[in-house]
Amino acid sequence: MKNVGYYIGYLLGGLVAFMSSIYIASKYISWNGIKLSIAISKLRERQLIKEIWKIGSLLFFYAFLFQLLFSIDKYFVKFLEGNRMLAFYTFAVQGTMAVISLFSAFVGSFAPKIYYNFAQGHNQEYLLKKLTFTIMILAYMSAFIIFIGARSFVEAVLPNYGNSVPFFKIFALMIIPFALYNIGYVIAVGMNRVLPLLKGITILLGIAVLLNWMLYKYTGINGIAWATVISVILAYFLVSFIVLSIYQFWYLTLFVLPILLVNLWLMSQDLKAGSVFFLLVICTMSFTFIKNKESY
Amino acid sequence: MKSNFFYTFVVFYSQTLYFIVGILVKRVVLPEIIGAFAFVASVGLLFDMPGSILRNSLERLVPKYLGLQEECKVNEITSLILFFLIMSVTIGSILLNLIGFFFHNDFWQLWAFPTYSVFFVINSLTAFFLSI
Repeated sequence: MKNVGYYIGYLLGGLVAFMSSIYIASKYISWNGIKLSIAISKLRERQLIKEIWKIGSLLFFYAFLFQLLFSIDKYFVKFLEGNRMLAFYTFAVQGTMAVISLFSAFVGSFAPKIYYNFAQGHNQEYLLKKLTFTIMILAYMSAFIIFIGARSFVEAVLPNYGNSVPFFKIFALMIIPFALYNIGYVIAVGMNRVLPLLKGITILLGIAVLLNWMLYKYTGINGIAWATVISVILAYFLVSFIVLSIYQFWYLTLFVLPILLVNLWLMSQDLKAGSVFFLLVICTMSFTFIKNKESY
Repeated sequence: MKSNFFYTFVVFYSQTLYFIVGILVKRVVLPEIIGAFAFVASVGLLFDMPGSILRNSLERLVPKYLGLQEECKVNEITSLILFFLIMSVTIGSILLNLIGFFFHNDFWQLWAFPTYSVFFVINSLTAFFLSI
């Protein structure tokens, strides 16, 4: 009986989400101008249909290639190290991606506003700067917490997954570029520069395969994790290059990533010195953020 | 900024809830059923491609035309996307049912396909309303 309940529960969960979404949509949107009766004969003439399919397909295809870029490593781990190591590796990837998805959601919540501003031709420097600094500070803190808390977290949640700890520590370095990549991506879409993004990501796919192969050859399984981190950094620079005319804050990552690296190294040598260094960095970043806020 | 943090919190909350419910369900439901659903969901993803394309357009084009102060086009885009979305989920749902009926491997898959096909329609339309 409980197995039948799973099917019913599955549908009921979906139904509750559906009703909630209709309630939210009806509260904020006027449905007066929206019609479902469309003259099929006139569909071919409509310019908007072409635009819908063009933009939608490009974005979909880009999302697909981007997903592929971050699935290559798992194929390498699976075929070179086996299922057991893949379980450890995937656990670290999922843990890190859970944090990154929060940043994606945060940046994504600004996307409609950024697209709207592009259409209006507004200057978005202040918004983008504020967003960059907020993300930068939060991402730095997250990377630091993941690095120092990985072992305790794994021991508490899944004690037999201890082999995933080194991967967690390596992946901590991709949080800042990945979180900031989202900003560049939203700007690129707003600027209608999806096609250059598509071309760039296709080249990056080839580079990522080479990186995975070469780094595995020289440094073993950790090399695959490093290849993923490098791929993220390259994707970040690619998107920053494409939106350079609007968004010039990419250089901040060039400063912050080495600082994070030094901080993490210091942390592994001396807990006290690492913590003081961390507090200093966070204070400096917050101070710069507040100072910039006042200048506008 | 407050609403943006709120949205991020909602995403975090729903992901955590999904994760916890998933663990609880896995404790009481047979792995064969979970496996059958996971397989059917992976097949269903292929049928969600047109819906995904349409939702991507909606998220990009509605703010664009709102910014250009072209309310008529916003309504037209929403109507067109809703029309095509209903068509694609209806076709997808029928195909999922047919696949389940003719190509099922076991009893659980036979039931997983029609159940998932209903969930597929609901889920696609939910994503549409949330995109708006």
